[in-house]
Amino acid sequence: MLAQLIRKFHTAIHGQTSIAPLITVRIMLGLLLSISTIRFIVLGWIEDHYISPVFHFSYFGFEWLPRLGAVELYAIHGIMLLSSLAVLLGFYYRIASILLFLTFTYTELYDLTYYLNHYYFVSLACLFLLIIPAHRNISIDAWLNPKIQSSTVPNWTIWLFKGQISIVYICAGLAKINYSWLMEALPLRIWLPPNEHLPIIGSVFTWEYTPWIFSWAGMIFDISIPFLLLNKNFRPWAYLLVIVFHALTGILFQIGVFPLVMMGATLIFFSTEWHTRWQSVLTEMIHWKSTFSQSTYSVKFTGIISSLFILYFLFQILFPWRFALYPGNLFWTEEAYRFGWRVMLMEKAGTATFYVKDTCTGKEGTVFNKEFLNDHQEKQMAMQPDMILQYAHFLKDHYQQKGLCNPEVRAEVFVTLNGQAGRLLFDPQLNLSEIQDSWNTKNWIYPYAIQ
Amino acid sequence: MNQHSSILPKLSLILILSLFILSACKPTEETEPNSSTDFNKKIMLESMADKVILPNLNNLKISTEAFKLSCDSFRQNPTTSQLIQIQEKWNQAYVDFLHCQAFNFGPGEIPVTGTMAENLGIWPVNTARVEQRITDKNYSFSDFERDSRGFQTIEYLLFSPNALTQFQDSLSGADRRAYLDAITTHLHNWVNTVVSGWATYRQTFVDNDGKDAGSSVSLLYNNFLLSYEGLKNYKLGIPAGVRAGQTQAEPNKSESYYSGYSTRHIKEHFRAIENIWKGNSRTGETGIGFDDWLNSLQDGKTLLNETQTKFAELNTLNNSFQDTSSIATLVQSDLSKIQNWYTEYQKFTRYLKSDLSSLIGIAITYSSGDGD
Repeated sequence: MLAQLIRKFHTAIHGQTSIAPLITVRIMLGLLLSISTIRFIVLGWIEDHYISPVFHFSYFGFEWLPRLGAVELYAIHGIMLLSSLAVLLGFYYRIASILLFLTFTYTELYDLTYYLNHYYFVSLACLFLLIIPAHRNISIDAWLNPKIQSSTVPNWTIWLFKGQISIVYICAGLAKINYSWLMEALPLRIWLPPNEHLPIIGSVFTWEYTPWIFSWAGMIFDISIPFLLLNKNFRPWAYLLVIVFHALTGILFQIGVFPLVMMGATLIFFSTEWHTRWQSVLTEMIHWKSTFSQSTYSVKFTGIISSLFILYFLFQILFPWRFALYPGNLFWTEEAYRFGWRVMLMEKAGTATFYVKDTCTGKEGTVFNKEFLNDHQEKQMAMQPDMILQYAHFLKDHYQQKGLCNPEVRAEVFVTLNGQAGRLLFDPQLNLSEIQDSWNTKNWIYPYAIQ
Repeated sequence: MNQHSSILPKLSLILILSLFILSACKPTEETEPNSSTDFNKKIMLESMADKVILPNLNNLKISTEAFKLSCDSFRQNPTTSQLIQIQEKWNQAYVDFLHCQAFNFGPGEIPVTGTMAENLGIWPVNTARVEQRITDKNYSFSDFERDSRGFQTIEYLLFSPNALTQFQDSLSGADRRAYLDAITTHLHNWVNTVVSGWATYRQTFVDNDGKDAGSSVSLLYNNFLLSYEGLKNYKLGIPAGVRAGQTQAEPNKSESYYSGYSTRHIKEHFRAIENIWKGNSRTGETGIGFDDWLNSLQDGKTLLNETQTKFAELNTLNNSFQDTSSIATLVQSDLSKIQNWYTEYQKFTRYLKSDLSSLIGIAITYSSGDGD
């Protein structure tokens, strides 16, 4: 029975389907990433995010990551831009997609401060790009070497994207099913009213029930949109919803290129005919003629691919739920908060004052955070326990080097969650430099409720 | 594969419909909705511009002008009475400057050159550099040696122990007066540029009524906060030696060190902060500020009351220090009192920082970068 099911699954994901959706994805992601890389450079963020700060926060497990200097960072962004364009054109595609994945992921891992779910999504999409054969039609590679041309690809290449996008939406929707979001319309009750200045739609946000409608609609949209997109009758309407939803969030919140990424990525759900139709306009414009040889694209090692496919999605489905293994309020402790598609779920901010004590003289001093952190880093650090720890360890090392004798670091951190009055995150007397970050429960964090 | 999933869309449609109906009846009595319907950022920006920013900048322009005029006559005639007169005029201009200290955006910030506060309000003064520049007759102010010009350098020239004899010195006095004149002109020009810039920027400021980074509300708030943290850290913290790594108090790093006016200037700076928070003019005319914003929010009343109480407490604390005793003398005579003063300011920070910014829903500190 199980063996039969596996065999069925195996033939399903290795069955052949049109390459057209992958061509769309390749062109769209290449285009979006080149635009967003140019935007990043033009806005001066290489300087602001990576070069200026004295200290950088690491991702857990990536403390070893070398932090390259200014010249190298500009070079890396140059490579990222060129490789995204090369992916778009399908030129030296394999090398370009590898470089794109590596450069993009490297810059994301550079500093935990700038973690965004949609950057994580883009990193995964780049990983898919380097695996799939998206250059085997309508590309410079396929023009220079017609032998690689193929009209079909295995089903799993398409399902990587469909599956991942569905997980993103559904997890984002399920995360919204909590008391604050649905019953109190928080944080939208805080975020929406200051949009009163917007032309035409501004007055909508001053209506007292709008936050509730948006909260519920957002949750329902996220959970149902993958299913609506999968159904060919609902698809056009579903895509219209995608556009309206993401355009609206793009207007309301400072979220950069994310709306465009999702509007582009969800195109994968469209039918082969749809992709072929728009591509025929394109091929006519560029006078492209496909010369498919009889042998369609096929891969060996289908067994290994099936297993990896299953393992990958098992991980993607389970990993966001690891929060269930930790006690306490997820929003307060943020243990297992990241990499779980928890998007714009809470309004949180902190004020963190660090004290460093010379244990030989007993003299304790206050740290001026701006000496070490930029505004963005300070804001993120002041509400996230793992970043607080990292910063405390940095301060210990820094002041030890400055000649303080065996420094002790403690911090008074007040955090406000969804507009509640600031509360102490943990005991201000705690010596933070002695606490190591790990997968274990951070039981030094005060419980949210009892205060 | 579409056949299999065709049941799901139907199900989800039913789900959507039922939840929409549910959501429509949801928000009723039990949770009182946020009544922020009447708060309008544009009106606040107008009030801020017309009651706080422009009047304060105008005061600064007038007092800087007056200071510059008396400087001119002092240059011709460096007498004791003239010196006392320009000292007073300097103090008036500096107090006015403290009330503009937070307006480092729009015309208050010049690309590359930097902000008004960075260019005119730097201390401690690098006295060796000042003396060198006087000797060199170096009146070019395009470099970044800002600790040799601006209000506090003028204070050094006017109030340092031998100020009058140095100005009157037959050999070097003229150069000294010329340098005073040059940095006064530089300062006067800066202030004029900012004030005239606001004539056109006022409309831009009012129209830029969004909430994201770069919006007027965000610019005003961020500079307000920066100004408060600067007051706390650099005017109290460093002289009191509370900064990590400092081994002792450093009285000579206090603001207005030579005049001994540091205590009164701290109080004045604090008054400026309170006025911005309240949106009030210096003459006490009430306007629309962050207090009114909080008042318009159902969840904002608690913070509003707490912040008002804190302001009152801190004003009482401020007033427990005599204007006549400078920070420099106080850190030597009564260090723990100054450290306590700093601690109270520190404790107050979150009321202006995370608690406030979180409640009013403004993209505060992201001068760059996106959220998700």
